[in-house]
This record gives sequence, structure tokens and C-alpha cells, in this order.
Amino acid sequence: MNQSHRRPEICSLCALVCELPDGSTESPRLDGFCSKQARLKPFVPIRLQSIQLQVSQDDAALTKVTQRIEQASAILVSGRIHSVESARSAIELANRFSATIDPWDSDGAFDAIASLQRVGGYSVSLGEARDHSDLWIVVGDDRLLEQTPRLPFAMHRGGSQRLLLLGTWSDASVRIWQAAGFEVLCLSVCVEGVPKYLSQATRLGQDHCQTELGKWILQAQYTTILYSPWALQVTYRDLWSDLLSRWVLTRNETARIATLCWGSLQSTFHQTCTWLTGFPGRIHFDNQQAFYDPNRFAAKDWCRRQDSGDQIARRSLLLWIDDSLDELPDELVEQNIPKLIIGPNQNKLACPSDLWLPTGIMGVTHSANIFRGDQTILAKIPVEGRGSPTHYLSPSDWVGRLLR
Amino acid sequence: MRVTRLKNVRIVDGLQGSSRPTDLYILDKTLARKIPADLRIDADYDLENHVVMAGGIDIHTHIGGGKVNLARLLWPERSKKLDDQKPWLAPLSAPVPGTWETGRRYLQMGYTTCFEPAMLPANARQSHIEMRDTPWLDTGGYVVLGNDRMLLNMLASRASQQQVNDYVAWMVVSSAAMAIKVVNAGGIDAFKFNQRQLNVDETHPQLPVTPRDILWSLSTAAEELGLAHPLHVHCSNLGTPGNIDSTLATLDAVEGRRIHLTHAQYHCYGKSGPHGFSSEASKLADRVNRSNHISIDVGQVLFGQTITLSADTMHQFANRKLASPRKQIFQDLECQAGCGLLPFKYKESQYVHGLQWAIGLELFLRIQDPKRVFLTTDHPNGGPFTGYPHLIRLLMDYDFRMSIFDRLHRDVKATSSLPSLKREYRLDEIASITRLGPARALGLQQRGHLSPGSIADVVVYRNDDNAETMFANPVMVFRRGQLVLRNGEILDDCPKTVLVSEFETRSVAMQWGNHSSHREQWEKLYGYSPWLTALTDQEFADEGLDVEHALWQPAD
Ligand code: SF4
Ligand SMILES: [Zn+2]
Repeated sequence: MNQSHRRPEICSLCALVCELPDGSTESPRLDGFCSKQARLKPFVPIRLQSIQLQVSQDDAALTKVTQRIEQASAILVSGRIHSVESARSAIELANRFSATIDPWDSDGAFDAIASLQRVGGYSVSLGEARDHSDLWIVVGDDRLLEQTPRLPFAMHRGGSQRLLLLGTWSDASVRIWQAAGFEVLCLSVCVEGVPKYLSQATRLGQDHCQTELGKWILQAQYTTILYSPWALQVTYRDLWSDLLSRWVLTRNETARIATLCWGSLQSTFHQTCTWLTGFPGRIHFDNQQAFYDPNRFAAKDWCRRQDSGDQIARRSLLLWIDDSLDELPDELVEQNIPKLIIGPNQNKLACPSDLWLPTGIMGVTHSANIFRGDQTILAKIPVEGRGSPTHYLSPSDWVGRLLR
Repeated sequence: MRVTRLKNVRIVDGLQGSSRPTDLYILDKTLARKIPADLRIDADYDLENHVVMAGGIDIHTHIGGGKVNLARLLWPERSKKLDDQKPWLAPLSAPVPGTWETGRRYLQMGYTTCFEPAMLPANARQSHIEMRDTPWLDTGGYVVLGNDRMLLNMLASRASQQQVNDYVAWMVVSSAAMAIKVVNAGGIDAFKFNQRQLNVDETHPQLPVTPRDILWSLSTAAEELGLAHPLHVHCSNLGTPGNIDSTLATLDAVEGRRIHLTHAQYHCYGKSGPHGFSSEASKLADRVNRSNHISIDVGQVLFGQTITLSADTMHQFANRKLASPRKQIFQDLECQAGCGLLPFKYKESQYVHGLQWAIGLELFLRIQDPKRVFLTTDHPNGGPFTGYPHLIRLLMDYDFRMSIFDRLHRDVKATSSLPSLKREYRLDEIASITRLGPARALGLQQRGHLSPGSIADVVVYRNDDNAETMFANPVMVFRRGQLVLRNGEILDDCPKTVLVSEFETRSVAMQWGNHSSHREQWEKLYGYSPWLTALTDQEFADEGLDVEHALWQPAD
């Protein structure tokens, strides 16, 4: 196979997996590229230069860690697991040590999954909607742009495309959508009622339709409704999705319309876990068999249960696998559960018994496969051209050593 | 060199009838009939009353990729193992199980090579990674073209065949594909424009292109490039009464070029009969019997619960009210195709389901050359792949077949010609439809048979009058000469291989993506460069996989 082509560098900071423009990180072409995100976290390659990771390859450390795992009476594998490689390792670890596994903050994903398992739906991928959709409806609030700053630019194909913003959007956000090239209509509505609102707006048909919203939808050839479970301020996200999906499925009997449920980086874990075990996560392994219960095996509930008794807490163990650059969540730091952290940050170690196995950074020191937010494209984040410093271990390297 | 002897075994590989008891040798990773006298035998198995076959090859089974994973997600319920005494008859935990279970269950039937038939180019990496995580199987995939807007635009602007060939070569290599598959040519894209049907000579709603144009140019590309497998075709009008006409028109459209029709059972329906639905299997079988360039896999229906999944959103959506239980997933995907998933229960008591079952068997029994009709259920569409041993018994045992036929809807019994087909498959014919035939159709020279020098993927079955028991329960399975299964128990892991198509211009095919005008068109359509989704051999090496290049050679 001819390998002489230019492979893109890909940003792994959010699930949009943007290809980075040609040139070095100092290139002026990066100006304005994801500036909002960049304010929160320095651009990854730059950050790497300022990070001096301590790397312990000491067998004694591994032995200590293995002992701790073997002594634990209950184990939760959790964390921010963003790559296929880390997900595989985390699942293997959970399988080997009969642990429970659920990534942190998975409520949004599981609400979307619950709805899919009950009703199904009609969805569209980002590239399809970009090329084909003449009307976008985006439901949510500014958080969508904070998490995925370049989303509007990835959605717009050039030429005239209409976009309806439903929810609570600041003027600054509206300006970003406009800057991407959309003709924007922003309606400040309570997100809770959106599925009902959409179905009412289209019920009367084009000749009798009273609202601007209804007219836009009825005129459109192909409508895409984009939302993200983690940027949805509603009481019951799963029921909200049920309603929306039912309406979309029915409407497709005569017209073309689809949803685009935008996932976070953690969707890579759910995908990987689904193909390996048949379940998207929230499973407990017993005797090499996976038992799925989205209501019983949620990470936060597990921690709450363990933390309720001092004795129990000390005998349990949280195996935290981290592909992000973030600190450990505060709510976890406060809890009295011993932790083993496999990730790039030492974090604020709460328990004196906490252990840390330091890793390099995904996409910088080790390559990784991660899903785009629509879960259609699995992007390979390469490390070529970034000087691939081989002495940094990845989470899967560490797990491989532990399992050996 | 490690030498294994399988002593007193009957060799059945489809090249000739079953042999007399003889010895077969495994020298490291390959097979031999004789060995030099001074070689020491490391492992010796006396296999009187056993037969040996090559590892099974499934030419069409949905085991990896976006829609397969959605099917897993859609079915969180798990069935309980039914029979501890006969674990091989236990149902899968779900119609589409996880990769660990898929690999194990295929191995436990003696299958060693499987092909995912519907990789979306944008999603090829996921397909391959899922297959990489399916242990014990060598795998490959077919890239779905024919609804990709890039190709449709090329055809609409009357691009030359050479330009089409270059584009197809890029798609095959950048998706690490074994073949090209077309699903409802142009129809999936037409549905995105709200068109609900597209016949072979109907024009796409937006572009001056017909399915016939697409079929012609893709089959030409496959032939001119010299791909190992011919164009793999899912015809227009999936599951629709009367679709035999468009199926025959599809065969005409390729004008004598090699073609493989997949899940042909779903594409040979008439509309006469008591419920406006009838069998036209004989018409298709006649055509196949008369034309050496056509092969088919059947897509047999087996009764029970499953999930149907297809890139054919147009027809899956039309059938959405048949979902049981009532939930459905559809997707329009990346200017390339789509997918539709419906849980589905095939019932003996239902006229259409019973007739579909009979139509599939009719195809098997009416097509004379067992090297051009292949055993599939289009897993999971007609039923999970674990039904293969049962299906083999249906083919080998007329009385057993009729015992099930007698339970079907009375109108099936009144109209089907199945009882008149007394043919019973012989063991060597079973070896052909599950091993030799698929290997030949895919250009896998060293697989599918037990000739000296071929790959030592070998399965040993104990003779049994009940073919289902026999094929569900191999005594031994060797992978590349390594004993990995004995009496149902898995002994070891084994290395895995990805199969891709070799062809003359393969080494330069990737240059397509560097060409500035191609990159521009690609970026305009998709919003990213061609290299975002392109796979390289290095990625497979990083995952610890070998890559094997399959090369088509005309059958002697
Ligand atoms: S939108 Fe996301 S992926 Fe794209 S550059 Fe910004 S942080 Fe990176
Ligand atoms: Zn299929």
C-alpha cells in the first residue's frame, strides 16, 4: 500500500475530531482555530512541551498495584475513557477482576440509549446532514458550543442553509452560528416542550400553518434536528427523546427528517463495550460473564453505595482510567474510596492510599481511535510528526502490564 | 517443523467425492498428503469414522460495523441457555451477539473465515476493528458503493470508465476491502430525496442516472480492475412481491460480467398465489444454471426471533410496521448509504414466512452447481448463523425437511413445489457450498479445500446420521495447524488475518486521494479530507493482524 500521502493531524480535544490545518502549532493558520476551547486548555501539542511526566516503570510499583486490586472486595472501573484502546483495556480489566464498569458522567448517554432501546429512531450522520439538509434545527443552549466550538462550521456546507435555534442561546452564540454562514432564526422556547411544539407546528400542513417555525419545516426538503443529551435542560431526557423520535419516525412516512444526537468523547467507550460484550456499559462481570443493568451499575451510584460505610469504602477500589487532561471530579475527590488512577494527571489525591500510574497524552504521545460525535466515523488520531516520545505509556500499555 | 497426523480420516473438500479413510498431515501451517519418512510425528490422532473438511467460509455475514453494533444495542435482553446437555444447540445470547461470542460460536461450528458484506467507506475502520476483536476468525469486508454521491455525480457527468475505475480502486484500498457491494443501486440515495421506489431503469430523482448505469459501471470496474470477487449485488426491490423482474433485469444489466447475487431468496418473489406472494425461485435457478458467470448466496430464512438489518433504508422503512417488537432504527449516512434495523420474528404459521423458507430451500435444491450457490442466512437477517447445522440437515435429509414443511401455513403446503424436490445434498456438496465455492468466488486459492500446500484450517467432524448434530459439534478445529478447539472446548487463541483484494493497480490506487481535484471534490462533499477515513496496512500491523491479498484466478 502506498503510504506516501499526507495524513491529517487530528484534534482529540472534543468529539468533532477536526483535521488541523497544515503547518506547525505556531502557524498563523491556527489563529482563531478553536479559540474558545484553547482558552480553557492550551492547545495540546503546546501543552505537551510544558509537561514533564514522571514515568514509573518500576516492577515494584506494579506489584503493589496488583496486590491492591487483588485485595479489593469490590472494584469499579470508571473514568473518562475516550479511545477504543482504553475502552478495550478497561473492559478487559473489569472482566479479569470481576468488576463493575461504567464511565463517569454517563447519565446523558444512557438516557439516549434507553430511548433507542425502547423506541428506536431515525437519525442522520454529520456529513450527510451537512451535504443534504436544507434546514437544521438545533435544540439546547450555549454549552453545545462550549464543548464543541467548531460544530457550526462543520455543519455548514456553503451556500444558503437555514438554521433554527430552539432553547436558550446568548447573542454571542447566535453570532457564531451566523458567522458559520447560516440564516438563523432563534426562538427562545422551553426545551422541555420542543417535541410537542414541533409536532403542533407541522400538524396543519403548509396551507394553514401559522408559525414561522412550522413554515420552515414544511418547506424543507430534508430537516435535521441536532441536540446533545449533555446540553439538554429537561427533567426526563429519555422520555423527551422518546417523544421526539416517535414524531420523527411518523413524519418520515411522507417527508424526510432525521435527528442527530451529538455524543461526547465517551461515546467511543459505549461503542466499544457494545461490540465486545453486547452491552453499552453499566455492566458487572461475574465469572467472565457480563450482566447489564443500567439502573444498578451506574458509576456514581456505586461510589455512593461504597462511600456510605467506612469499612466498605476502604475495602473497595476505584480504578480510574483517564484519557482527558482534566482533574479528578470534585465529587469524587471528596469520597473516601481508594483510587488507582491511570492517566496523565496526578490529580488531587484525596486518600493517602491512592495510587497513580502516569500516562502520556492521547493523540500526542500515543495514537488512538476515537469516534466522532455522531458515531459514524472512527478517526485514527495518529502521532506521526509529533515526535512520538515512546517512553510515555498509554493507559492500555499499563493495563497490558497489569494483566500480564 | 511440527507434524500432526490425522489418521484414517475421510477427506471431504468438494474437489472430489468423499475419500476412503486415509491420512492427512499438517506440517506447521500447511497441509500435506505425504511426508518424508524421516520426519517425526509430533501429534497423532486416529480418526476412524470421522470426516475432515477445510475451515468453513461465510461469504456474507453481518459481524462488524455501525449497523451491527446498533443491532446489539437494540437488543439488551438476553436469552437463557436452553439445553446444558447440547450446548451447541443453545441459542445465541442475542440475535446479534458481541464479538467475543460471535468468534466463539463460529469456531464451535468449524468456521474459520468470515466476510462482513456491507462496510460503509466512512465506517470501514469500525468494521475492521470490530472484526479484529472477533477472535479465531480471519475476516474481510466488502465496501458499499453505488449510493455514494461521489460516484453518482461522476456517472451523472458522464465520467469515463477509467475515472470510475480509479475511484473504485481508491475506495477498495482505502477501505481495506475484499470486494465491492452495491445495495439497491441508487435507491438508498433516492430515498434521501423522499422517493420510495427505484426500479432498474428508473432515473434517480435528482441526477440523470439509473440503477442499470450504476450496476454496469461498477461491474465493469470490478472486472477491469481484476478484483478477487465480482460485484456483490443486493438487488432493487428487496422483499417486494414481483421482484423477480428487477432481479433478472439486474442480471441483464451487467451484460455477461461476473456477478454475485446476495441473499437471493429475498429477490425471487412473484405476485400470484393466494396472498399476492409466490415463489419464482425456479426462474432464478434456471438463469443461474445457464450462466457460469453468476453465483449466489441464499439468505435462508430460519424460524424464530432475529433482527433484520440492511443498508437498504428504502425497503426497511417500507417494512417498518412489521417490526416485532415494535421498535426500529434508521440512519442516513455520510453521502454514502444508510441503514435500517427491525427486530423480526419468522413464524411457521405465517404464509409469507413459510414461503420464504421454502423459496430459500428451492434455490439450494434447484441450482445444480454447488460451487455457485453458497450457504448463508444473511446473518442475522434470515436468522442467526448458529442455525447453519440445522440448515445443513434440511438440505441433506428430505424427510426432515418435509417434517417441517408439514407444519407450515396450509396455503404454503398447497402452492409450494418443495415436496417434489427430492434431492438430498451429499457431504461433498455441503463442503462445496460452505467452503470450496465461497473460496473460489473470493479468490482464496489456499482456503476452502484440503489440497497439499493449502492453509491448515481444518475441521474434524464425527460421522452422524443426524447432520445437525454432526455439524454443530466438531471434534477438532485447527487454525493454521494449531489445535484451537477439541470437543467443544476452546484451547487457545490464534493469530488473525485480514483478507483484502489484490489487483494489478493496487500499489498506485491510493494516489487518487492525493490528487488535488479529487481532494477538492471530496472536501466539498464531506467537509474533511479523503485521508480522515482511509485505512493503511500499518494500522492492521499495529493491531497485530496479518494482511493477506486474495487474487482471482479463473476456475479450471
Ligand atoms: S471543535 Fe473540538 S475537535 Fe475541533 S478543534 Fe475544537 S476542540 Fe478540537
Ligand atoms: Zn446482508
